[in-house]
Amino acid sequence: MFWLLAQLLVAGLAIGAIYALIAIGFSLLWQGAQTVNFAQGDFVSLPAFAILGFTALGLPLWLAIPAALAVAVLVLGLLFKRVLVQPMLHHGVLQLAIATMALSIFLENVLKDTGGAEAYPFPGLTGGFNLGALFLDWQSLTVLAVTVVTVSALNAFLSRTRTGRAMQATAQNPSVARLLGIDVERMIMLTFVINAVLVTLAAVLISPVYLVKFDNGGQIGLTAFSAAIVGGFNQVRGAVVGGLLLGVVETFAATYGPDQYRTAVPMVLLILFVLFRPHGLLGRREERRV
Amino acid sequence: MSRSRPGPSPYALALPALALAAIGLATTAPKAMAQDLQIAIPAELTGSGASVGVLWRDGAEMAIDELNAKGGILGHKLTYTVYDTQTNPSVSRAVIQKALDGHPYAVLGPVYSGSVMVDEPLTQKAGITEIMGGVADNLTAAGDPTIFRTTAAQSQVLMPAVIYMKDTLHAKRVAMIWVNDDYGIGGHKAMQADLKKAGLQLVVDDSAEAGQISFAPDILKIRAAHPDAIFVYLHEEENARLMKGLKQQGIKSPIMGGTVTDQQTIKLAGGAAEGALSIGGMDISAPVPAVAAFHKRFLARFHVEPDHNALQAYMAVWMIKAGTEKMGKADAKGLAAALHGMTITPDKQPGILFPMHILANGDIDNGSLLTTVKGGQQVVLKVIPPAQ
Amino acid sequence: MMRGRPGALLATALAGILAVGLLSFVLEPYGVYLLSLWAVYTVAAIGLNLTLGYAGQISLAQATFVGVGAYATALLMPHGWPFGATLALAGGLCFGLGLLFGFPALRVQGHYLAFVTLALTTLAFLVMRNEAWLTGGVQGIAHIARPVPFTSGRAFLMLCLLVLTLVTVATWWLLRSPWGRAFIALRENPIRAASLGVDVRGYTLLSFAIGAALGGVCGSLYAPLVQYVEPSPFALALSLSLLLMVVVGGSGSFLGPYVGALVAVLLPEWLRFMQDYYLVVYAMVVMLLLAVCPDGLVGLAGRMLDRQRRGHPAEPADGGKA
Repeated sequence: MFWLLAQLLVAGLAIGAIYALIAIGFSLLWQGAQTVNFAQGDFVSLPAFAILGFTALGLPLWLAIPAALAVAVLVLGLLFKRVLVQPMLHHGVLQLAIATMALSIFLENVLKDTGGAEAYPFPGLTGGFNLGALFLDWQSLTVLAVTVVTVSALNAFLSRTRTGRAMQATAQNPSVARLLGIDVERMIMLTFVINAVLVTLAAVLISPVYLVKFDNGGQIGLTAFSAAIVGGFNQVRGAVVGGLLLGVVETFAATYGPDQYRTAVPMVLLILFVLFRPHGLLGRREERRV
Repeated sequence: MSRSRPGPSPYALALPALALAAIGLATTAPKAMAQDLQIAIPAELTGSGASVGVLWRDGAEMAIDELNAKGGILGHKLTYTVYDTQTNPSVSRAVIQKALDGHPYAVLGPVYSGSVMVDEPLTQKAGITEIMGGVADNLTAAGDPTIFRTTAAQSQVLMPAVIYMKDTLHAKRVAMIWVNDDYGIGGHKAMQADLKKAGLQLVVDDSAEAGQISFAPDILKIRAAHPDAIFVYLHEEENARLMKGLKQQGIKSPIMGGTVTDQQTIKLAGGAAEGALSIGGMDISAPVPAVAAFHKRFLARFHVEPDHNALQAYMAVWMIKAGTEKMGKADAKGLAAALHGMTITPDKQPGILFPMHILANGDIDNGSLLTTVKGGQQVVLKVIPPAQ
Repeated sequence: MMRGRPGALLATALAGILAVGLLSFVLEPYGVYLLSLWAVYTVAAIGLNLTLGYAGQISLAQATFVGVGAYATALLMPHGWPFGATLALAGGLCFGLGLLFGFPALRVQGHYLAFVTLALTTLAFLVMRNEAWLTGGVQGIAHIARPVPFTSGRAFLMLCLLVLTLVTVATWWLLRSPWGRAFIALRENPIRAASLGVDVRGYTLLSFAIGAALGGVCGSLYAPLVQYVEPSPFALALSLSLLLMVVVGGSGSFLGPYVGALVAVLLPEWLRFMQDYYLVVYAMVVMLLLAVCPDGLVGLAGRMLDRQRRGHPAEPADGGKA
């Protein structure tokens, strides 16, 4: 019995870690650039397709990943901000949120029409080792390790470096930040670039398990929104806790609950949190800016 | 915005005029030349069924082009129009109405059950033959004389699988995992009954979602139950996610299922599909040279692997030819009656890649295949001939 | 005030509905069906326009309300309920659901209504699919009869247009009433509206609930129109599609939903030559429209007409005749 619980916990944390990476980017965009990105799930699909595309062109995986990262930074970072967010933002947050919904439809259909409608396999790690009755696989362990390193690095960057602190100041109050001499535009751009890096990482980590398909983004995005809300919006920590919690709760619920309603779990959590704790587990109560 | 305008607002007339023009343009159905036979192809080109519908359309297109190159049917050329159902029943109803307004000779498609359910009453009323791609049992159960399919209904191939698990795998305790959509729910119902009939015990009865990310809970449920066999009734992607996890966890129970030996599953699951077993209708995996040749032509033309949907649509076109030649004339309203009870063989109709017998309700009996995966390839273990 | 002269707006909408009714006499069954679909979706889009265009809240639950209306109608009509009663029930039920889910979501600021309604749509889909004892599950409910005497395609279109006319007049009246003035104040500037004593939260909730009710009305027309109900049409995709209809037409504009629904229903037709690519184009058009002309096609048309009038002072009389 114990091995089963431990096994479920590992599985839940591994999937939750990926939710966390996607949710962090989602929170950063919301906080830093008033962008509620309904296309966040599809942002994960794009680098996954790019990696497959580059390997199909003959690049080895270790080169295809940085190449896809460059594409993601360019398209999901720079282009997304310049072409969609910037012109839209002065019409209001609402218009921008709707535009990202259209962007989601756009991305999914472009991926389908150029990459194909079927699913594709994605290289990952196989095998693992036994720890008593507990089986630990390399893929899950790698996911956890990469997430821990990424989150620590991001935290260190945000709190220890000048640029990181400037970014946080910008997210809290752009007008004050501007008065303090911070290059607000650059900070916002940096937020988009960080999001692009995070979704690329998530793509590399989730695709070996989830495969690559044009409409995979829907399910991923939905769970990442819930993770961000459950965790609380104004900190990286919130998204991390939300993601991990959601992964674990979802896994246990699918094992012990009615499996016909397994996808209901993140949604029910989301509604409960909005009802009883709208600022999330770790969010601050006064958060009303967006 | 200006508050007061002189006279009536200009849009009072401009907008409706624009709208009328638009609708007038949009709603003319294609009419075939008198001697041509118009084939309507409603398919899932967008939406969640796109990966299925696109191949269905391609298969039909290829057959029609080949048929025309060989002189058509009784001297008539075939023309076709493709309609996108958007995987949405309300749109499916719209496009079938449009197709019927153009008086087609026959309708090929759609594939998704919901779309077939709304189409079928309309084609029946018009007396037009509809050959669709769905596998759900209930699609042909309503007594509609104009509906057909080109593959086995799902319950036709489940009992043979149960018997195989009992007699050959000597299984007593079976774990089943099924996808929670019309395909999986239909299979689940039939399977529950078949297992009971055969006296096998269902020790895990687990449903999964299409597009489900993590299969860890399902795998652990199966692992804890130690079943003698695992029956997997999912789509190709979910097969792959599940089977990779089962292999990783070292679960050695034999896997049998619906699409577990399909080429797409093998591609996605890597080595994890090795040894899986499936009993399915005669389709793209049939060990027949004509099917291999079809596979090659399709790949050369579309640069994607054909699947059973592509093959079904392809054969459906040749079914129309066979039925029409039996009548001796191109009579749209007589086609369905001509097809019922017909046995079509490849020696008479080379586009029919293996013999098929059409039953009274529009179902097909063309035998089935026991396949496995060996060395990364789908291998046929046994051809089970048609009952007739 | 409503943008444009209110009387002219109502007249335009009614003239459009009348024109569609007349047009149906020269169309084949397919055209008649498409026009019915337009009328049905327009009702839901009008509802969503109240939520989005006037109260400035994104609702992604409109598909759920359409679904609730459709199932209520499909389930009750065989038990002898007259169509009018199922329509009223569907509207009332969805109004209640709107209050129930809108209230907690609107307690907090931000985009929480968007997230709660997103969750609601996902949950409602699961219920429709899983609770087969009630909904028929994935096999759905087939062969739904149309209410007598509206059984033929054209007669049913007339029923759809009749309902649309009633909804049009009711919405117009609502927006002209003191409530409506509050809605419009809300649209123009919520902060100012609050300072003028408008109960922003109350009116936002009310607009959401009325929007939901119209979703239910749409559903109770949808079921007998398509004559088949199953869960998949009421998934998130329909919510998104309705939202885009409102935006394309012009959110917060009285005529917007009529135009947006027309574009959404006919666009796959116009772009048929592109086959599976049309959604790419549609999504691009939506993004472009949002960036360049956030008041949608109706706003664009209005601007073009204004410019033309200013450029050519003699023009309006001719424009009126065209």
